[in-house]
Parts: sequence; structure tokens; C-alpha cells
Amino acid sequence: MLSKIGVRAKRSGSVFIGIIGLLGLAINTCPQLLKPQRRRIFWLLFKRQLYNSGLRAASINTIIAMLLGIFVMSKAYAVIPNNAQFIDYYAQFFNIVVNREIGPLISGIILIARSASAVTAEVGQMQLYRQFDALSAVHMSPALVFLLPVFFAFPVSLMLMFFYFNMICVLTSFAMIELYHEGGITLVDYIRALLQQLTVVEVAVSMTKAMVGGCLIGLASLYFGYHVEDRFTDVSRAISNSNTFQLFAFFVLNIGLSYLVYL
Amino acid sequence: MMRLKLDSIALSFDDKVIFRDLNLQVKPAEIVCVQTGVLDGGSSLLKLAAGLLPPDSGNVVVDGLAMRDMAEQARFGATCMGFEAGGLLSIFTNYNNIAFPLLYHTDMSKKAIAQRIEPLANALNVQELLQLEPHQLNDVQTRVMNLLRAMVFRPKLVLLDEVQSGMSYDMRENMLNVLLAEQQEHGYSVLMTTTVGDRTDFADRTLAISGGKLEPIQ
Repeated sequence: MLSKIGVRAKRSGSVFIGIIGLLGLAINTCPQLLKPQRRRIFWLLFKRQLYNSGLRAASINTIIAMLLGIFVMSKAYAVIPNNAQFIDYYAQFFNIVVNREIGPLISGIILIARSASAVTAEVGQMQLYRQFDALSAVHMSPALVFLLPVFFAFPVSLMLMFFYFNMICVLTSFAMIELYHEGGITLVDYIRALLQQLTVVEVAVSMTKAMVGGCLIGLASLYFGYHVEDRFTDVSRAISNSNTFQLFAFFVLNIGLSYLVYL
Repeated sequence: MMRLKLDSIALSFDDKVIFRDLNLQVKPAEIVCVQTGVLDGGSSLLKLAAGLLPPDSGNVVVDGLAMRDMAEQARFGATCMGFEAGGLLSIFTNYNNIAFPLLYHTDMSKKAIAQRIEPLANALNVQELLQLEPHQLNDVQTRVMNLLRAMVFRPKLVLLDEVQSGMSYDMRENMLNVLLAEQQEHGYSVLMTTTVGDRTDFADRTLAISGGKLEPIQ
């Protein structure tokens, strides 16, 4: 049993070191973006990645955000009386539940489920069919073609997803207020109350969650995809391992940051 | 100065020796065909020349510069390999497999790149395949797309791996006519592996791999 724990610890350690290595490689490759030719190919691939990981997730983000908005405001009415004078409490409840905790968490899970798996599968298949040889044949750097677009697009996607998710949630929760409330609360009042609850620290924490979480998820996708070997099942195993690692790491990051800052 | 110089190359995979003391010199604008059999190292020879496979010992020199010392920009201008199978990235369309490396390495505009790709694609009758993805091509079309990419790049040395295989008579004649016209116009050297039934009469020299070395064919 001890040896099994040792093997697992060693494996986790090598994943962590590998991801740190990819982070170093990404930072080391960034100066290449100073060359206009490299920048224009990067820009094309970055936009493609941003479209796939951010924009195409909009529909699922909308549906989940709407459901959450309805759920949160129903729960708010269950614990806070239905009265316009309690608008600050509605806003506080929404801010703590959605903005601080569930919004970032669900956006991260959507990014992992949709885009991170796709990147792992893409890179894994390329590794399986030796397509990196094709990249070498045209003398293009894999770090610039694969690493940098993911490295930059994932955090930006996650940040946009946080913002979009919260916006839909706000609108849906207001729709619930309109439906149940007997009048007196306007959308402007509600948004004003929400903004009063929002502090600079909360914005900074959300941005940190997006930046660090997005980078971590993206780099882990590439790491596991790149470690696919000769068997077809290696690809499915890479996706499974990658998702497990990403979910664990993202939960730890979320809970850790919330614990450090809010508790 | 020789366009390509393979100097005392040795290469082996595990216990299997592919080349021992292999030497080859290709002059500027020269066309050399290498007749190959099954698993005798034809593809490895081209990969060595392209700098995609490091030799166990010996030197690969293109235009006086050692391949291993070249930066990626210099390698791009030096060689381009047309693969027998694969060689195209599945995440890009066939067109982008050709255009993206040019965007990456040169100052050419997208319009200028299109103006270079389209006439050659028309001449090779693969215009309608450009917007497809690599998985939608058959083996012959994949080889033609690899050839098209090499001709569009115009490196100093074009390396073609069994490009004639599987082609109909008409297709092969057309492909060779286009290749030879382009080669004469731009002056690049060509090192091409061939197999049984392929044409080699257009080459300046024809060699064969024998016992891990290259021997001339009379």
C-alpha cells in the first residue's frame, strides 16, 4: 500500500512539474510574439481558440445561468421576506452565492468539460498519429502554434464566461423578482444594490480565479494530450486523467482563494 | 558549393542498421532519384536531409550550413519534405496547411500567398481539395498536397517521398510536367525516392540504397 501511495505521489509530482515546465516554456516563447509574422499566425490561432472555448460555450452557459438565477432567487425568497426594503439582502445573497462561489465554479466546469477535453483529444490524436512531425517539417514551433493560443485564450475565455454567467444570472434573478414581487424594485435598483455589495477585493479574487484557473486548465490539457503514446486508448485515458486533475485543481484553487480572502 | 551534402552518415533504429557511412552530394538545380524497396531507409534518407531525423553520426549540410546549427527560419528556406503519408496537420484545412507556414516564416500577405498557391493547385488539378481537411484526402491526394506545399514554399531543396505512387498515367505525367517546369523556373534541387514502376528518366542521376549506402544505377 505504501508503495502505491509512493507511485501516485510521484506521478502527481511529475504532472505538477510538467505543468510548471509548460508554464516556463510559454513565458519563454512570448518574446517570439514581438515578430510581426509570428504575431499574425498567433492571432489567427488565438481567435480560433477563443471562439471554440469561449463563444461556443455561450448557449450552455446561458441555460445553466438562467436555471441558477431562478434557483437562487427562489431560495432567497425562502429565507428573506418578500419586501422592497430587503433589496440589499437579496443582492447580498446573490453576491455570496453566485458571484463569489457558484459562478466561477460552474464556468470552470463548463470550460473543462467542453474545451479542455477537446484540446486534450486534439493534441492526443496529433501525438498518436505523429502529426507533430508535420509541424517539424514546416519548421513551425509547437509552442507558438499550440501552447501560446491555449495559454492566453483559456484565461480570457474563463473571465468572459464569469462575466457573461453573472450577467445572465442577474437578469434571470431579476425576472424572478418581477414575477414574485409586488412592485417597487426596478432593474436599476437591483443592479445598484448588487454593485454596492461588490468590492474591489471580490473583483480581484474573481479575476485571479479566471487567470490562474484558466492557465492551469489549459496547460493541463496540453500536458496530458502531449503524453499520449502509441495506443488509441491512451487518448481516452489522457482526457479522463486531464479532467480529473483539472477538476481537482480548480476546486482547490476556488475553495482556497475563497477561504483565504472571505473567511 | 553543393546544395546538399550528406557526409559519413550512420543511422540505426535499436539493433537495425539503416545506413553506415552513407555519402551523397546534390548540386544546385540537380534532380536525383533514389530507388527504394520495402523498409530500406528511403523515407529516413529524406528525413535526415530535412533535419527531421538526427543521424547517429555524420553531418547534414545544406548550402554550406550544417542542418543542426540552423534556426527554424533558415531551415524553412533550406528544405521542404513531401511525405509519402500524412505530413498535414488535421486541425487545419489543406489550404491552411500550406498558407500558415508562409504566414509564419515570411512577410507575404494573405493575397500574395493565395496568388502563389492557386495557380499551382490549378495546374495539379487539386484546386477543389484546398478547402477540405486532410482526413478527406486519399493517399495520392495527400502526396499531391504535400508536393504542392513544397513547390509553393520554393526552398533550396525539395524532398519528395514516393510522390508518384498510386497515380494514374495522366496524373503522373501532369504532376511531373508541373514539377519540372517549376524546378527549372526557380532552380531548386530535388531529391525524390521512387519505387517499382515509377519514372526516373527525368532525373540527372538515379541511385539505389544497397547495404546501407547509396549506389549509382547505370
